[in-house]
Amino acid sequence: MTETLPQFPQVTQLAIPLFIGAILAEIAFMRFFHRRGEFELRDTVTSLLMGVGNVAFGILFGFISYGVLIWFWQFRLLDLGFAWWVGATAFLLDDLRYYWYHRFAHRVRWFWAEHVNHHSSQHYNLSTALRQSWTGHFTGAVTLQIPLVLLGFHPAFIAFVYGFNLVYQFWIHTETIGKMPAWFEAVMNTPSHHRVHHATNARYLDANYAGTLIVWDKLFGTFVPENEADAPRYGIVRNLATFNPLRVAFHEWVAMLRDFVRPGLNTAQRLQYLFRPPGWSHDGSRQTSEMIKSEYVARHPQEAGKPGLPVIGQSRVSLAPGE
Amino acid sequence: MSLEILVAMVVAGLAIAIGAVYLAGLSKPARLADAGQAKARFALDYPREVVADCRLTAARDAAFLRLESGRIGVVAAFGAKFVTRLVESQQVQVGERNDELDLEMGDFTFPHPRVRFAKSNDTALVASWMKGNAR
Repeated sequence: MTETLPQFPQVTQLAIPLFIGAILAEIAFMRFFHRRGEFELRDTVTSLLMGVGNVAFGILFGFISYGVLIWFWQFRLLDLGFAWWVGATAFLLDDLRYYWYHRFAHRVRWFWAEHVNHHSSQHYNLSTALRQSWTGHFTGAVTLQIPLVLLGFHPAFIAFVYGFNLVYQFWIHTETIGKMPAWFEAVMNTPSHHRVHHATNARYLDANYAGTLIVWDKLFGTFVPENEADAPRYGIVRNLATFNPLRVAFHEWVAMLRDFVRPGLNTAQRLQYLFRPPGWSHDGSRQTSEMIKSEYVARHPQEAGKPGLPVIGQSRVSLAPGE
Repeated sequence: MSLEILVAMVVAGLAIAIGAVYLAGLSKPARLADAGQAKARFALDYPREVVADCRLTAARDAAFLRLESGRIGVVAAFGAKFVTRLVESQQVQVGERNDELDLEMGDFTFPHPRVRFAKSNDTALVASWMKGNAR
């Protein structure tokens, strides 16, 4: 069915003028209409350079991920072709794949080392959306797309529809838009939902992993709504004090390697520094998100059991009402 | 898309976006109003630590906090925001010059901060904390 492979455009590259135009619009709304939002020059420069680096690494090393998927293509069960409904199905399934990739990226340090760059700004504006990872082709996360290939979706088609997913995720990186209509907030990922995802407040850690459909978070119990009484503080638990893109891109890899080779650890401990959640330490000297949430609830017992927070004495986190 | 067009689009996009942020004048460097703000900001990230003493730099772009745990807290302006660190004195190499401190905290994400205090007493005091006299 796929004897002639269509030439799919690079959606994210074609969208560059849209990205720039939207950033200009966001600045104009903030500057002239006093809408919510913050920009800082050096932070914006770093975010944009991280985006450029992401494109450059994609051009140089994208063949690794694509090559893996093409190799698996020979073992496909079906060949679904390139009809519009195949594209729509691929988009939906790849959005589910993205949810799980994203969840692993926050819960497994190996993947977090790549993804942390995207969270490394304390600002939340459209330039933050472009602060993308450079090392995604080296982590092995591409394996999550193999089931789609085996089902019969061509790797080029998957890459094409994933481009739309990334373009969708661009516009939700803003404080300038408050809430969307209720029906939209119920189904789609929105600026409000994604502000929660980028926040370091205890209740917001490890929540809202969705790409385009927020229903995945509601289905798998990771949805936390934005709480007006607890404004998001953006960034990471231990924020960076550098605008240097090289340090931003590789800081967590450096930290992880230092932990891996530190003297006095056994093999199991070394491996746990790679694969346990961020903040795990062999001696308990650091804090995981569960520990941060538990400590927050101990200090604010009235918040126990609210969305994103455990009940006192338990590490299990409550879901949002009705989820 | 050809590489030439992609490069041209990226370069133009960078110039336009960076120029717009610059011209909009939205960048305001963070400054600490007083020791109270420094303590409050530090407490957001390290709520368990109890502050015993706090010294601000001359430009109010950083504060050093002596903690009851014997460690030192750092609050430093970073662009329009602040970053915080909890450091052990033995992790820090201190260079003292006039009213300036050169710090090397062995922190890949906070390379080589250099701070100046309004009073030389404060320079010597914070240097002594960093050298292990914070208890």
